[in-house]
Amino acid sequence: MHEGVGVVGVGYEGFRPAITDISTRELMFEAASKAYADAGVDPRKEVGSFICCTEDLWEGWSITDEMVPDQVGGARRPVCTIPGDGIVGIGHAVMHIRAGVAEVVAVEAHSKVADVLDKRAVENLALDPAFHRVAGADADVLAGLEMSAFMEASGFGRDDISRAVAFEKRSAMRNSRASYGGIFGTKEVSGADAVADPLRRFDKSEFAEGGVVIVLASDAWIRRHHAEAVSVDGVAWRSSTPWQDGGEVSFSRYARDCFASVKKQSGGEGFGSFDVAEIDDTYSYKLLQHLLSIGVGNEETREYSTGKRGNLNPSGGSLGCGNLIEANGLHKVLECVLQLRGKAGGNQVKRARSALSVSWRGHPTGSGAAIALSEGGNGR
Amino acid sequence: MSSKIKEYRGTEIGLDEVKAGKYLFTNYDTVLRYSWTSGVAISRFLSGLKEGQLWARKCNNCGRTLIPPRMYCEECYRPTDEWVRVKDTGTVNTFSISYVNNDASRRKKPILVSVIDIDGASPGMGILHLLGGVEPKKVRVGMKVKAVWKKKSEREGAITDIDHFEPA
Ligand SMILES: [Zn+2]
Repeated sequence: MHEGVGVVGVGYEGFRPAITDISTRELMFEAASKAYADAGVDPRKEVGSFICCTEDLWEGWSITDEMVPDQVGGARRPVCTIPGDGIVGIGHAVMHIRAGVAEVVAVEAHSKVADVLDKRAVENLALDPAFHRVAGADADVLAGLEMSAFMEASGFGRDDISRAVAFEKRSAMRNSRASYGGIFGTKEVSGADAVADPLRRFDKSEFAEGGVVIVLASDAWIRRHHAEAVSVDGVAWRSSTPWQDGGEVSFSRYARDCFASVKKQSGGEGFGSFDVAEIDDTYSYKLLQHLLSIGVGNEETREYSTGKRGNLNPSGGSLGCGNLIEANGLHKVLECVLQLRGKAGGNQVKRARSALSVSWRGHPTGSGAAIALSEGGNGR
Repeated sequence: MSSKIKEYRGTEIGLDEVKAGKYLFTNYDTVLRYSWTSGVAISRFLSGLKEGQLWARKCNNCGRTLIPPRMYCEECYRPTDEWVRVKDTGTVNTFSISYVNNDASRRKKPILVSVIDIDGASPGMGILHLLGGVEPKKVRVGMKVKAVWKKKSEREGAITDIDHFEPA
């Protein structure tokens, strides 16, 4: 039996289209300070490992990992960085705890993406230089291509997707962390300006800035400190072949495999057994594709994505809160933890005892991660 | 190649063949543009430079005075407490006589790059800058220096508002 791990603290700052008053490092300090206060830990003494999820090209400095320790409390302490989504960082935190490297681990991810003046230039650099970059395609063009194939293969039509967008945007109106909420009709979403048809304006989550820090601890630590915790019941990350390199275009194998793994780890059943879920929707159709890929049926997907069944993306998702790049996963975890604590404000769902998050690293990747959480209270 | 390896297996590609288009050769230029948010600490530091002043932040817990300023003390992990104006004089902590430009091309006349511990800040707190008005051979670690500011009309709120440091 593996040692259990729980979330003992969360902190965040920002969640706006652009944060103009504080720097990236100050943003990280604010989010981390709140997370340590929430967990009741002194990072200089009690946090044994710090994990930051950052990517140099989004930061605008090379070797960013060397610049992260001070502001998260990790000066001269074990710090590592992962160029990847925050849930992958949590996966590493769980390994650190189970391997005995640390009893308490902090995972940090942020977006300061408004500092990047030409985001397309960064996206273009992620494409294969010989075969894809020359075509002038950016992430939105890839999304348009994938969306076309998805709609054809799944039978989901323009209005099905628009109804999901309208539902998410409406949910976001009750979330103080959401910058892109709104009350839209299906027609308005379907008829919005084309970005890369069939991808239209509201199908794409706009960029946002924010920082999130999650503090995790071993069950033994949680018991010793009588801490309140949300249990991490399973965590997984996978990279499948991106469709433009020969992978499947209408199906997310990474999502299927991540979900299968967390389901096995948590001893859970299907998607329906989770009381609340935050599933990647950085593009509208990806939300539906992710649901279908983890085994949710067509009709159920229609119902979940329009609020007629279950509690899908009560936060408003990325469509409502914004695309936080490497912090998208930790944002979902934050929303799930608040739900399980009963502290999600206007978006609180009733009787939330278990939660699922699935994240995706965006085009052109086929990389995703998933985490299953439940109301813990191990130390209570 | 070594004493054991006389030749590598495979086909050597010559520059002529590349120029003749015999192989796929892709050249890609990109322009990455950023506009970093300077934040609370560095904004105050930069506007101070425009006024010909150096500003630091003090942590009242450990008593250190930090320059360039930070809104948090990384040792105590708490917000720093107050702004402190420090002198524009200091001591050469280390220096290098550099004969290369940013693009790695050679310089005939070297530039003198130095880390200067600023008077009034805690030991080891300093800024990276250039030395001037001194022969390279005469520069010493521990040498007292002072800032040579650009004319007020030329200052723009940048570290280059100090033109260089010269012997005090
Ligand atoms: Zn201090």
